[in-house]
Amino acid sequence: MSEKEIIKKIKLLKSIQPEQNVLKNLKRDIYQHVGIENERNKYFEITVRKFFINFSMVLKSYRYISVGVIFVLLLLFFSFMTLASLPNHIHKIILYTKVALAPNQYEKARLALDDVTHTYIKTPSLVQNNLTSLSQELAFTNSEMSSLKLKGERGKYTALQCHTLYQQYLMYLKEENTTISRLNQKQSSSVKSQIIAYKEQAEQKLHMYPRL
Amino acid sequence: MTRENIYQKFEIIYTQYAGGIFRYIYFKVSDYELARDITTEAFIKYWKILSVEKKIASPKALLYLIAKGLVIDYYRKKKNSKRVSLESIDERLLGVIDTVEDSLFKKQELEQIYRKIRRLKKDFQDILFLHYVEDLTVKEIAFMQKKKENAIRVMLHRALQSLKEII
Repeated sequence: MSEKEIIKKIKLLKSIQPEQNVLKNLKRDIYQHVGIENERNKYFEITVRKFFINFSMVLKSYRYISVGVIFVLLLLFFSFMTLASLPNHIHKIILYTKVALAPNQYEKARLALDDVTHTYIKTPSLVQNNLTSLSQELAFTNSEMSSLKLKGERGKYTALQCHTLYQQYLMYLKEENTTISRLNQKQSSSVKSQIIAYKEQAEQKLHMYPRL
Repeated sequence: MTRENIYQKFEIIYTQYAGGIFRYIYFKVSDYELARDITTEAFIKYWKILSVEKKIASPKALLYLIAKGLVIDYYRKKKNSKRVSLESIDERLLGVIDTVEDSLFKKQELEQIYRKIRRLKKDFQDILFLHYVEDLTVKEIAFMQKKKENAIRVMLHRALQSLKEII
């Protein structure tokens, strides 16, 4: 083996790295030890207090302008509340945005799965009244899960992570299937067959990501 | 230097070298938790130096020197404990390469070279790791080892030859 090849082999060791969150925790410990954490907290408290003092002084000095500002703030608040009364719609927009901005396919799939699990498993009453919405979310989640591939995104997520995610997905589908089976609606049969099809797909995929 | 200045300088140094220092210490102690503790200690020590010294010529070399010193201290305190021979690299340090494709092969390859380097003389291990893995220049290593640059170059060459014989 030539010297160049040996050096190349040694350089492989650069890929040994602690995870970023471990380094963040270490940094926090260091800052606590040297006392910088307390200083920064105090600084933050002082800044917030100063802001409120200045704000109240401005309110006192410019009474008419202040009334206008408060009116605008109230208007914004009520507009927001009105929009929030359409939770399903807003919820979907937020979810799609989050997924679109996620850095890699694993994060996209995880976000979609977390959302559908939290929305429908934690509040089963939603399933009965929102079968169409559930069906749409299932399709969305399934498409994100199916797009998981390590080839194009090497290094961004691991086979083990994919395996775990697919296990969670499968568990969710089984649980949802039980909930749907309890309903006696015509419409539920189509969602049920949709879940069964996705379950089969997920089981096949699970074998593709063997536990290392 | 104000504490805010020290903090800003420290942030830059930590972001640049924390991963490398952790890896270097782990290479020397072969224990993940211990490497964590010594890394923390090394950076605390660096902070203290930063608070006193006006200018540090080579922060990187100084950090590695501190880390090396702390590892030596650790082994000196634990006189009876032998160095653990490394069979496999801790999984928590392999997150970056742990992908499905050829991950097993890569892991094996890594562990193989890791074990082979550890079969060399301590000085050779150190110099190879510092130069090729941690990217320290010959000048920086010379500062760390308190030797002349030429001596380091010769040592580096010999270390490579020794490794070549094993491989």
